[in-house]
Amino acid sequence: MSGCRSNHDDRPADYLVVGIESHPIQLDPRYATDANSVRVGNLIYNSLLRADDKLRLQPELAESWRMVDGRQYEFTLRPNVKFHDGRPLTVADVKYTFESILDPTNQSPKRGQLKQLAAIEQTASHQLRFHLSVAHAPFVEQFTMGIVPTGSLRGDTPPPGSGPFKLESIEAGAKVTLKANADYWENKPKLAGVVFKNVPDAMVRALEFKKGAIDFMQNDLEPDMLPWLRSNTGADVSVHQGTTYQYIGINLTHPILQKRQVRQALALAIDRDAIIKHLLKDSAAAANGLLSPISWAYDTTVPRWPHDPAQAKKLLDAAGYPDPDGDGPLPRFRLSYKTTNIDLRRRIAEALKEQLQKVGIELEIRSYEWATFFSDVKKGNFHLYSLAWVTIMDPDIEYQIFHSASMPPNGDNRGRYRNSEVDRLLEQGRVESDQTARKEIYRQVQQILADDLPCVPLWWWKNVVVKKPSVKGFLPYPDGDLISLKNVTLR
Amino acid sequence: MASKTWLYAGAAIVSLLILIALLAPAIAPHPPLRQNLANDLIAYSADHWLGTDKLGRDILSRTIYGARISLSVGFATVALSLAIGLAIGSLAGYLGGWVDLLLMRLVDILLAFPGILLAIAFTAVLGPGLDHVVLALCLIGWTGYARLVRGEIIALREREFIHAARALGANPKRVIARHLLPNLIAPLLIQATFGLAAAIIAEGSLSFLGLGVEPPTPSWGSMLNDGRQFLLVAPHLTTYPGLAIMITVFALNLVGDGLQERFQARSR
Repeated sequence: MSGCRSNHDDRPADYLVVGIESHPIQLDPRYATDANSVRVGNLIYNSLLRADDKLRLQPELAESWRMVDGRQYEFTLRPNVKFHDGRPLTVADVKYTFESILDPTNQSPKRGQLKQLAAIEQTASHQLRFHLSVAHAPFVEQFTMGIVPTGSLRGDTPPPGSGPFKLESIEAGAKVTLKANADYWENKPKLAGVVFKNVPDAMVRALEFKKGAIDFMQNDLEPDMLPWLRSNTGADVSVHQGTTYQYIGINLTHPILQKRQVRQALALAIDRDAIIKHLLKDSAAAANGLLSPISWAYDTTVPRWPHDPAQAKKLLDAAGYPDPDGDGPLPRFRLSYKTTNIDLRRRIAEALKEQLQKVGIELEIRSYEWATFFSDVKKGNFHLYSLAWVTIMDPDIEYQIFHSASMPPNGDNRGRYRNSEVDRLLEQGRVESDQTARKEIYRQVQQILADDLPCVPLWWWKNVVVKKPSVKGFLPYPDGDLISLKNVTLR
Repeated sequence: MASKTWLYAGAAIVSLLILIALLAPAIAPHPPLRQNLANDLIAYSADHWLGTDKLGRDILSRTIYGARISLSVGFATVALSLAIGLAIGSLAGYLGGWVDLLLMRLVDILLAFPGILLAIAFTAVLGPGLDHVVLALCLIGWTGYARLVRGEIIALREREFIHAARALGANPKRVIARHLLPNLIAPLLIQATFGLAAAIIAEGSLSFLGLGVEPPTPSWGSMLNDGRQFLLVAPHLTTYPGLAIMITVFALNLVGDGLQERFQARSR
């Protein structure tokens, strides 16, 4: 019994305990790729620019900045910013951070994103200029990279940052503790610190919340648990618009799936609204494409595929796949559907199987643990699979996913999609610097993709925030960022 | 007398379960895979006596169909393990010498592994599926039978009736088949009954870990797994498949215990 209570005691006073579903792997922003490393890292490290709660880039370490031309960006740094170890943050540190990512010996997974970066030049004591080799509009996103002090090596201990919280301790696999940075240049956080406690099982996390060992959780909860949490723990549960895009990936080299009519039939056969309402308890919104309404490039006129099994059957007949026995048990064809072995993902797969069966498509569900699943997806070893894209800011992400030059390992065009018109538009979109012109380019891309369906849109996940009523001042971000914890109070 | 009653009670329950498994399509009130998303997590209704799961599927029907998976995995595992164990045990026991030494060390090596862990590793490599579950469970399952058969044969082969058969010119094959095996039936039957119970629990464990049958096929273990996330909001999802496993294993143990007592009474 004493073991059950011990969690209450290891929480320092005025620290907020956040329940997370996986332990951050690598906090150093130059190497962090998993969502929790990025989210925790954002509290430790500042960047030149940072996305706000509408995903617009705002200056952070930059006092001011401007795009000189399509290939040059100039930044003036905020004075008097200090790293957690007391060293001042200078132009040299910014330069070092980016150059250490570009250094091939460091093997940073973010090196590819800086491909266009040719040089960084110090133009004044607090001023620097980034030179690109070619105009590349989406490059501005790279200025959200966390800045580390000069000389920081890749190691077990993450380097100090300059953000609102400093790293206090890491208990591998169990928790990460951050302490408020009393000298933070903006203003000292109101919390004494934050503990990120790793509790992989959603139900255990909910029970820990009930017990009082966790104060705050965001996402990765079983949707049906939300009403229970509300009525049994007095939790403050809120749901907010998000950008995480769930889709069905399609192997376009498969002889059946090559046909557009078949892909359209898949889109028509799926009853998104029923799944969202009953299975997901409205914690998602039906999607019509990768870019969500939060994105500046989102095209409001992109059609949404309705649930229309009769039309789906007609399209399948027209594509040359008649149902051999009408409504009988024999399918028109069989496809495999790969997913991870997470309960909710498997349940979604079972619902999709039933819905596709109604139009005569037999789905064979194969669920794997993450590593096997993801390796198959990257290799193109699938018919259909389902995955999600997180943190979508610039529409140029479409290049990485749908351009024919982006097939793995050069990008994430895992379905091997080829469309010369889409290729041309996506190339144009990244060199054009005028946002209105870019919007028009991506409008066309969205229209083509919605009809051609290289993947079937399912939904955008909403961000579900569960917190104790005493936790005040949290501002949810569409990409799930936790940066507003710097303004949170715990009473 | 009392033990006889328990034996008959156990046998009756097991027979009933086999009957339910065989007649599943006729007695299940709903198709076990039919979903109704709007009808999810019902605890009880006139149409769904044991309620529905998250996808709105009838739990009673799924539990009935689950009996098919559990029993067929159990019987297949026992049959295969028994066949392998019988062959290897008889060889080791009858021939003795280095054959015995070699085969029994192999058994010792396999028994040194925790059975369920080896089965998990095996299915994790081969991937989920009923046939893989059966193979994984047989991997160690046969060793118990092999040991039992060898021990019995060593004890029996020095008995007078075996010496007599040999003296009359019977070859080893005939001695094993006509004189030794008939005397092994009782202990093997007892072992098989307990083996059946163990295999059903093992299948449940593997399916619970997502290594057993693929969804949406209902198996008691996978139903337990499906219901796990809803323990707080819909405990009935796990109660019924859990009870089904408990009753089946309990009944099989009654049969095993009953048979053991009868056999021991007779050999005394």
